[in-house]
Amino acid sequence: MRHPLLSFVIQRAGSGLISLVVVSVLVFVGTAMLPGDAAQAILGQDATPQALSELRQELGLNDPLFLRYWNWVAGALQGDMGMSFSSKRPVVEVLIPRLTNSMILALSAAAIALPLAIGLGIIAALNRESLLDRMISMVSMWLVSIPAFLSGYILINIFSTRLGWFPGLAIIRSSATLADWANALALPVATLVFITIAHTMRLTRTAILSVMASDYILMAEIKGLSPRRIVLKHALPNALSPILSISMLTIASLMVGVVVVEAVFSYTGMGKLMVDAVAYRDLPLVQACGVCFSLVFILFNFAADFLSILVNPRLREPKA
Amino acid sequence: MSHSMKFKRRTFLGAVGAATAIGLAPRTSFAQVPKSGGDLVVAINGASTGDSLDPRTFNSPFMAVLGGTIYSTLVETTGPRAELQPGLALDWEEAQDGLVWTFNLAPNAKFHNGKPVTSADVIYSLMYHVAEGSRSTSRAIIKAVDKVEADGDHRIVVTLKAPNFYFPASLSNFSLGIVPEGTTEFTGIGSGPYRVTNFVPGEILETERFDDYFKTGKAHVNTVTILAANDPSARISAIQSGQAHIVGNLDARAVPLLQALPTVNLQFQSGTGFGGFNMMLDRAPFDNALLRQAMKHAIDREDFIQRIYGGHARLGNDTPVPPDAVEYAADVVQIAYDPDRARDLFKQSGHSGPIVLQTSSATGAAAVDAATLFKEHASRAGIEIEVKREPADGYWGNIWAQSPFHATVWGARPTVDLIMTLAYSSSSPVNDTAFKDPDFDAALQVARGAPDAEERLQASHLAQRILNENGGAIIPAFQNTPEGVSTQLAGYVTGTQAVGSFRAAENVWFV
Repeated sequence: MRHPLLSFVIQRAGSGLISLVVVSVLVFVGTAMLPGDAAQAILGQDATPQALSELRQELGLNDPLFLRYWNWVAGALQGDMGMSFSSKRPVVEVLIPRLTNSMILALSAAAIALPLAIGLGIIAALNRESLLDRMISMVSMWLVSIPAFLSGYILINIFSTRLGWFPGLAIIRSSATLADWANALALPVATLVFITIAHTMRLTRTAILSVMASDYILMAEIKGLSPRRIVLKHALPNALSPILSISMLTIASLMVGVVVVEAVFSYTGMGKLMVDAVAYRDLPLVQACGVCFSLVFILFNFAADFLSILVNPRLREPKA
Repeated sequence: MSHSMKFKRRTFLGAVGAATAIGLAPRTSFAQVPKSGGDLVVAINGASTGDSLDPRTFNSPFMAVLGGTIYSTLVETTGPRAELQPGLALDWEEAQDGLVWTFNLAPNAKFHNGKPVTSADVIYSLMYHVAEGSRSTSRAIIKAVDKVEADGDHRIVVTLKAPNFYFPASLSNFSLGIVPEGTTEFTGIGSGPYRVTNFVPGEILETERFDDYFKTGKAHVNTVTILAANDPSARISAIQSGQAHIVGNLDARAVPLLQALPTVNLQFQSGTGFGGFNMMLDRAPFDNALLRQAMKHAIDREDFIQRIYGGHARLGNDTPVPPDAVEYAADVVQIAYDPDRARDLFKQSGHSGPIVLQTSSATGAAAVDAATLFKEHASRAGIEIEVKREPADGYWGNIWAQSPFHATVWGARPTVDLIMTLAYSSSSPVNDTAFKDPDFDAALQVARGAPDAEERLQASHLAQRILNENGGAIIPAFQNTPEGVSTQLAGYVTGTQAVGSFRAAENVWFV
């Protein structure tokens, strides 16, 4: 292979595409298997047989499942994701603002959680087996073991209800300034930081320690370099590839894992949109959310592998 | 949690409660001159991504409060007894014994786009609810209209298909907001006290004061923001932290917590909404009158009020009429908890074995608790109830009005007549218990259409008696739904529906 990177990209794009198709089928069939349909969900208690059959006709729910899926795929391939049943607006128009909101939340959390976690991981590795190392491990494990909804409510109780520093409802007004955004997002971001910090921190620590066990580090030590210099100049670059991987995966899981946090803080992102859409049996919207979530995961997974190859020259060469 | 996000029209309720509540004490609301200014924030549940500003689609507390902020209805209700007051119609009168109704419109009323409100706009807005494809919550009200005619620019004459003295009251329904004639794209142009500056479905409504509002001495605050707070804990924290000044439909279990807060005036809203249990009359086992009587005597209503509603509820007598309603039939004996009698009735009925009661959070947050409590009460009468919890998804399609014994919920309606007609008249498509009784139907006709007020009242009493004795619904209580009002506010009038019967925005001011 002349271009290992190129063939890697092509391979990954192919497998990503297959995953997308599988996910879209699963979401479609899964939603169809739920009791009730969009017509029932929209009409609720007013669902007289006549109104039901009219609405089903209107929404195209009378077609066989396979045909509906095929129509959806045909539309999606032409960039038409369909109309949302509930809001009667194009799905993309509904989705984009929510996706943006989720990305703002997830990336803000990542911007704080990742440097913090990597920094703590390095400190822990530097002071291996010390009291500090154990403290860092303990506190971060402690934070990650509290479920997000509970830590969210604890934060609301302390910082919103008692101290009144931050709002408990993270709802953004149209006139919001950057400061308003920061204020509204403070508690949800803190909650997300809590649940993600431990993984990245521990992986950073392990990656650095495993590099530290290699011969060239021993060599550096024998040369008499300071531990700080050894870790930052020799160990860290070599540990970078697993750290970058976990960082990308953390961002991906933040993007799709904000559902609970969004519900706790009434923040209107993708997660809440999808939950609403499922409750409404709004199939086009559920589909689009499912595809969007899996796309995020596939892309960040791809980025994780791509970056780790990029920073590690050895992986760039084809195996002998 | 996810299921409570989308509220069905009836679930809507649910949340509405009692007439014993008094608005804010006069010391705060009437003793001072209203002050202008400030930004009011309201938090309420039921918002959905699918929401639209088309009044025909309103079916949740969030959209009802939104409607009361940006739209005007012809008639409004106020206070814990739902007294009628002028909206866009300054006054109204009947002719031909309740068959023909004339409404005189406010001559100075304008829409947010500057156009005056005329008869044509009102006629368009009302008839829009029965247009082809309408699924409006007000369809039943407007379907009773034979024709509407304009008598000049500011008077309409409505001819009904049958006399109905409840007609003006039913025009206060929250989805009957008036829009400009010919509106098909709904951007929120109404004639209400505030006009839309930003609306994101399922998230937020932001408004500013409409300077040409037709009522004088109203709309004191500069802006009104309505936040979507579908999560019950989010609503509690919003009023606790002061992020919102008015929060509706609070959880009854949070009452002691909120009462302890010095910054919150806790109000209890009265209303005709209720949660209950349906025994389907058209199938076994409840086609058996003795078994129905046994069940009605097997529930301890007082205990129910204490445990489910924290004491904040009024006693129900298996009719949708609460004891504080004008129409309440006090001479119908209140059904009481009597385990011995229930046991005898149960034996006489010949039924044996456990009875399955299906319930779901679709009928309210406390629905499962309520069913479990009923089970405990009944077990003391030797009646075994098996509580089956159903998913909220599909509950209204698959369980409600289908399975023999299940939980139900009804939101407050503008009139007692409307709820009796919708839930229990033979021809209703949403009949709750398959209750079909020609005497009851006839009594309802008289109760709404007889020329003599006393005759109407007697007929309503008769209808309640029939329902109490033969009906399949067990209605143990009417909740007095708690709502939180910041102590910074004055002028708040507690109503029969959430957030000051949806019109708190134009009434309150900051002290």
